[in-house]
Amino acid sequence: MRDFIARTGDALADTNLQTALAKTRSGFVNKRLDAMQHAGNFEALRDKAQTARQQALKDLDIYLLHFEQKVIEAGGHVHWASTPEEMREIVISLCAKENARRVTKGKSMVGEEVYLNEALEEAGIEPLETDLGEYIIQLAKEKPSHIVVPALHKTREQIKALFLGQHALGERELDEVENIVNEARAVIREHFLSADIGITGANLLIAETGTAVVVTNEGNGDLTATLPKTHIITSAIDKIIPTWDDASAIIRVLARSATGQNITAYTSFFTGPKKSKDQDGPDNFHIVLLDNNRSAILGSEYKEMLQCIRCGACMNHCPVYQTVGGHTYNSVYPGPMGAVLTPLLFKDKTHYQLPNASSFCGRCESVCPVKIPLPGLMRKLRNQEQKEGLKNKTGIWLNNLFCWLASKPKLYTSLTHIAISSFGILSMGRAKFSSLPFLGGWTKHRDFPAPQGSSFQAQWRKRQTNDK
Amino acid sequence: MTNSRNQILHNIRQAVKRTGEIDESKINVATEFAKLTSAKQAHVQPHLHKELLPAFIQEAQTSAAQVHSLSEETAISAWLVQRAKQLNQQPQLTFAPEFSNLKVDPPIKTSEHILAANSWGLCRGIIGIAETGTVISNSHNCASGLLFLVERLIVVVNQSDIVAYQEDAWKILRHRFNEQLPRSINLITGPSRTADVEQTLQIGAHGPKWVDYLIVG
Repeated sequence: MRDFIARTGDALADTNLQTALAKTRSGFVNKRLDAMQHAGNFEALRDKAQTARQQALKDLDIYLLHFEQKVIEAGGHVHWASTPEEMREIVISLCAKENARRVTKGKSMVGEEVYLNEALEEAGIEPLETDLGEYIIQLAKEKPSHIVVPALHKTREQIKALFLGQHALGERELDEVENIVNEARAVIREHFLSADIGITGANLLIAETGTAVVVTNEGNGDLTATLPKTHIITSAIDKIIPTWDDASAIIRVLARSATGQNITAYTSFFTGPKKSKDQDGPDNFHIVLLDNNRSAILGSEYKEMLQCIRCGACMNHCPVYQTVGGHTYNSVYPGPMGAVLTPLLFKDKTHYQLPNASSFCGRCESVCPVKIPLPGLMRKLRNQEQKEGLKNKTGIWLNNLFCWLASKPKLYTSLTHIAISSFGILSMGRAKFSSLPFLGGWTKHRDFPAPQGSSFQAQWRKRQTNDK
Repeated sequence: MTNSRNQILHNIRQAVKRTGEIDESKINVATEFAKLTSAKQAHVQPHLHKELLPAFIQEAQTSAAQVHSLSEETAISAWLVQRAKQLNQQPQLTFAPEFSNLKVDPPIKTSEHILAANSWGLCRGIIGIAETGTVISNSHNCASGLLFLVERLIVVVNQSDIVAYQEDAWKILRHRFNEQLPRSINLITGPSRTADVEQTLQIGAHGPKWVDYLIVG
């Protein structure tokens, strides 16, 4: 696998990706701003949501036990998976028990995290994605590039070509978005009606009543959860929230931050399987809870990352994500939240490149609905990368050199003075360099600014003297 | 799997710095849960920009629901017929059970086949929430299949059942279902939609393409 730096080069050269990103760059950002203003007290809503998430994590063991008890009381089953392998095994054994051959799926980032589709296919079970974005990338045999809009990297023309190539429906008009959506509606509806099992994720798990909350706009989550005779939820231990009132605190910031809606078209609360008074619903209800290092994160200096509600606001506002897209991160969790979560969940040393993919502009933290200090967490991961020697040798050597130099102010000042003077002479009055030795990687894409005058410290000293 | 459960819980207890292991056979989880959640917490709710009913209507319309008012429930049949004529349609109407005695005239035909072309569904919203223009249905009152498979969903809401905020709705649900919750509680806010193609909003994804709220009273 090519590393992150190489993948950014690929992304910048991908004209389809750049077209798709350009079309989406301001959409959700502007809608979020409108929704914030309409709420009238969005900062207070953020504070409340942050508190609700912190309280859930503070006593997570009790809330998980209560959630489990309530699910069982409602006639459902709770399964615990320490690892992705274990989650896959549990889901496949549940499918085998029902002799399932076709499985509809609502969007589940946990399902993506554990590579559930690949495991189902290996077991001879056909996974049928029902969220339009997930369906598009399933046809394209790709992974999601965004946690809310999985096919964000696809242009309309690419989606049209996919549908024409893979739906044997003869000649038809697919230039308009409406036609694409209508075709998907007709094709996927057949899947809803023929599936043996429905698998969804859950946005929240309410400990108070053992209820799973599924938030969608398309309605696919409800059809997946309701029509088959078995409903399996793939979720994680950090999705727990104590009460319905706490769920409101999250619901109020989730859609506003994600898509700029006050609420999504559907917010559904599922408690156990169908019972005697219910008009419809599945006969069997299973919830599989994944850990995958989350319990370790909870006890670490990174625990704030578990507050994340997967709204995607951080990536919608990230200049790095908006330039290179989600696939460049090579993780199901891209953007700033993914740059923190990916190395913590997967413990792969190549993932430590991701926290370095940030300009530390701070937009991610400023828009996060639960106030996760994402730049601070990325900084800690960079430190950890350095301490554990996970950086490449040149990077470690340069960092150590800088640390040594920065701890000797007189030497640092002298050297920067020499460097600035030298660059000043070399620039011969020009404001920038179009090429420089050892900095070809920089000057290939942009000019290097020539220092103008003396260093900041020298200018400051001069100003203070003049002021006196 | 049991080992995983124990291991995960053990890790969490270490992480949250519980003193010692919790013996599940000795603790009452419900009591512990009640201790943690019994303290009254102030709700933080978005501003309602208008009085209750106008706020509900405005928010519903923002989410592309079409809102109508009716003086009393006996007028529902006539309204349905008028609506079909207005839209120049011959719909196949499916009811939630409580409306099964409703008699409708042409051009409406009653049908149990939810998937019919031009299918309409009629159900009750047991609560309306003004903060977002949301209506609540549930699987005791109405099959989810009806809510999500028809092309046009018509939701009857009594004006007196409209509340300001979600927390007000949760109170009613707790009282009404006394902790024996229906399998599904559905919050519906307008028709289904998607923005998965180039972030272009398209109304009518997998669920209804049109939603009418019929406010009675």
